[in-house]
Amino acid sequence: MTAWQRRRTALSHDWLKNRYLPALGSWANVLDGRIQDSALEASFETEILAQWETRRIEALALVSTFPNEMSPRTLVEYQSSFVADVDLRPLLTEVVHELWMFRNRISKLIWIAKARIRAADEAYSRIQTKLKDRVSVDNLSAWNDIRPDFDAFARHCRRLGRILTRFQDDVTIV
Amino acid sequence: MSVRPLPRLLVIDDLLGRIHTDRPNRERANLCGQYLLEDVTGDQKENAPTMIVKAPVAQACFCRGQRPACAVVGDRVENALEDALNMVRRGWSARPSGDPPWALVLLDLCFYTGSVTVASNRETLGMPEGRPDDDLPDRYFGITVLEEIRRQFPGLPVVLFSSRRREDVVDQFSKLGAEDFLPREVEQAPHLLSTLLQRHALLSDETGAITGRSIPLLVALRDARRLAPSRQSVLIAGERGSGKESLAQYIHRHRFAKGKRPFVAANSSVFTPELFASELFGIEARVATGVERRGGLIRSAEGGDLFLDEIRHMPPQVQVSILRVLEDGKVQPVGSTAPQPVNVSFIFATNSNLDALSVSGGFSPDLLDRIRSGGSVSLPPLRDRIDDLPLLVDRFLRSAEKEYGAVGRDVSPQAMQRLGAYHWPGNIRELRTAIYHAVRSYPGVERLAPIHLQLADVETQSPVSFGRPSSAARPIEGQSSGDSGIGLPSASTDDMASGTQLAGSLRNLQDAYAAAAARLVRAALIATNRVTPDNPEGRLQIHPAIKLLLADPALSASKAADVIKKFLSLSPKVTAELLSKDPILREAMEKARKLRPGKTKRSSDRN
Repeated sequence: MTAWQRRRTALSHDWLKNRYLPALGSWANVLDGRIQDSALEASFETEILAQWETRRIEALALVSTFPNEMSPRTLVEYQSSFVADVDLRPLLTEVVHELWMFRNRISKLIWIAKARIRAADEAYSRIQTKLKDRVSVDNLSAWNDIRPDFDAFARHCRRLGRILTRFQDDVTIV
Repeated sequence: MSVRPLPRLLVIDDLLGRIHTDRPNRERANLCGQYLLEDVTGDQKENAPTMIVKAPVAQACFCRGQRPACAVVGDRVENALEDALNMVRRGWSARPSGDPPWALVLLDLCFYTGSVTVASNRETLGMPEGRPDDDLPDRYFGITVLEEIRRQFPGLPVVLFSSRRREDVVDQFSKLGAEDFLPREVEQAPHLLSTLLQRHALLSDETGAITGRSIPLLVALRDARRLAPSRQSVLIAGERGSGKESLAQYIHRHRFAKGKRPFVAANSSVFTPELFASELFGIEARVATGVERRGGLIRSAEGGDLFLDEIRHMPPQVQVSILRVLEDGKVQPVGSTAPQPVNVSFIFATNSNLDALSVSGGFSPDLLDRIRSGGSVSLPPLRDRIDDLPLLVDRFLRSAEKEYGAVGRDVSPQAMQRLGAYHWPGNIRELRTAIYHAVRSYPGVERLAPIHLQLADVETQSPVSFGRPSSAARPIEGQSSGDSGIGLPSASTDDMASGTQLAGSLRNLQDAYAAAAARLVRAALIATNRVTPDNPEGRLQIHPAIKLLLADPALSASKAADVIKKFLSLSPKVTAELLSKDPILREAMEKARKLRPGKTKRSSDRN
């Protein structure tokens, strides 16, 4: 398992899908009145929702570093047996990389993932603005105004989880 | 009115199943909040979650599948297959009598093992740092658990529940018979879970119309729910009195859950060919003097379901007419020249082997294909769902008391034992009759004892204990399959090494074969032993029994006698033993010999 894969597992599997999304789903049911959870009510805004602020940076870094860390170019660079001719190696390295990028539509994948992070960012910002501006003393009723932005944020997070799964698992030759 | 029990899920997951010493498992609480689950694991008593789920979709029991379940920094966490399987067993084969089995298992794929370090504990409390193999799709521990569940608990529905890629395990999970794959990043989780439960889970009838929580019954109900959405014809197969019409109504309720539609039931055996067309297709006015217009059964079920029971008894002309309706979707009332389109779904039922009948010419093969174009459901006989007996007895006691006066009756353990040991050829209808008879006949008795139950003595089998899997194949009275010498021998490798022992094993095998054949004959004799106008005393009848056994309605009485003699003479030793101990077989053999007094050709004669 490469370092990039380990970082993806930690972000996508361990945090986003197993911890963050269930918490958002649980919060949606609190807002709908389907569950009562005093512990979640006490911690959601500050301890759970706010995790996005640090994790978004990890997500952006993860997506951005994908071409460098998972490109088959690394196979050519680090395994001299692939190309005996030293002069040809840089050229072939780039060809392999470009072919891989093109065939797997890596640029598009990265563009979509970044767009999803950006969309989640925007929804998150709207939530934070409304939370700061709220006048109601009752936390839950204040969330009535925030609900559409929260639903959008949760949706973008789910979609981010799905697109992160589509990044390939192994460093493979083109 | 009884409250509908919630389906019980077992969730096997390293993250959700773990426990902490000083606080609730927050990830588990969030999952319960997301899916509206009521956590009934009972492993967090001192740190009970603060959550209240107002209308839970299901109850959930969580299992880590690893040791220790509660890990702290410095501990090593290892997968524990037996722990997971023991948890499965507690809600399946080893559950207390009357408890519902697991409705569904949600099974994680990737289980992290290794040491719990300061860093891994900081990231997720109590979780180890993981080993490289944990993450490899072909080494997922969840797949190992799934393999063992399939091997040890074959009927248990399992849905993989993972944040991993479905594509990584798609071959394995379909090969191993997982029902579905539920990703973690889902929208409308409670709705999705409800859909999964309806499709795959073992659920009791939410209306209470069908009583029981035994696995064979719940499997039949699940099969029925799976067929319901299609409006194609469905075939229900089940013995007499096993509740085929109730199952048809169950299909109807699930087919038209959103609105009331007609459900019309009719018994095919009551139709004569002459009356059939007008009863089923209707009749136009003025066809003959004094005849009034009638819509017919099919049109009265317009928009809904028509249930036709006992289709085996449909006369051949009627089979042709029904086939035409199924193919064209049109009916032609008597006296009408124009066929009229109908929007009706058909549910058929039978207690016969229609496949065998269609081969022997007793039933139209084309019609058989048509009537099960939407699938078929097998309804288990009562003897295969004997765990349901206490619930059924209680239900019939209460309903009988409504009719004959309530004294709050119950059934003594001895009486329940006797009911459990009975073979129930008439199934639930026969049980209802027995209970109603006892209540009616003994109005002053609060606790029904064996003496109050009117059951045929000859059919009482060896006692059964409730809560254990039951089987249709029971030893003949007074014999145990293991010790009597006529059960299958336990042949070890060493046995086979010796020629003498091999010959002995073959003889044992022949004895076992003879005993099995005798049991089949006995089962057929019991199944056909009923009171009819032709047989008012309910005497044993060998002819219908062998016709049933061989699925050959054209078999003559003398041939049937020959078959009895042949089947009961396969092994002299076993035959002598069986006939001395079993009055049913003895009577059958006597009747066969009376009908065909010729010498029986024994298997030993040929050797």
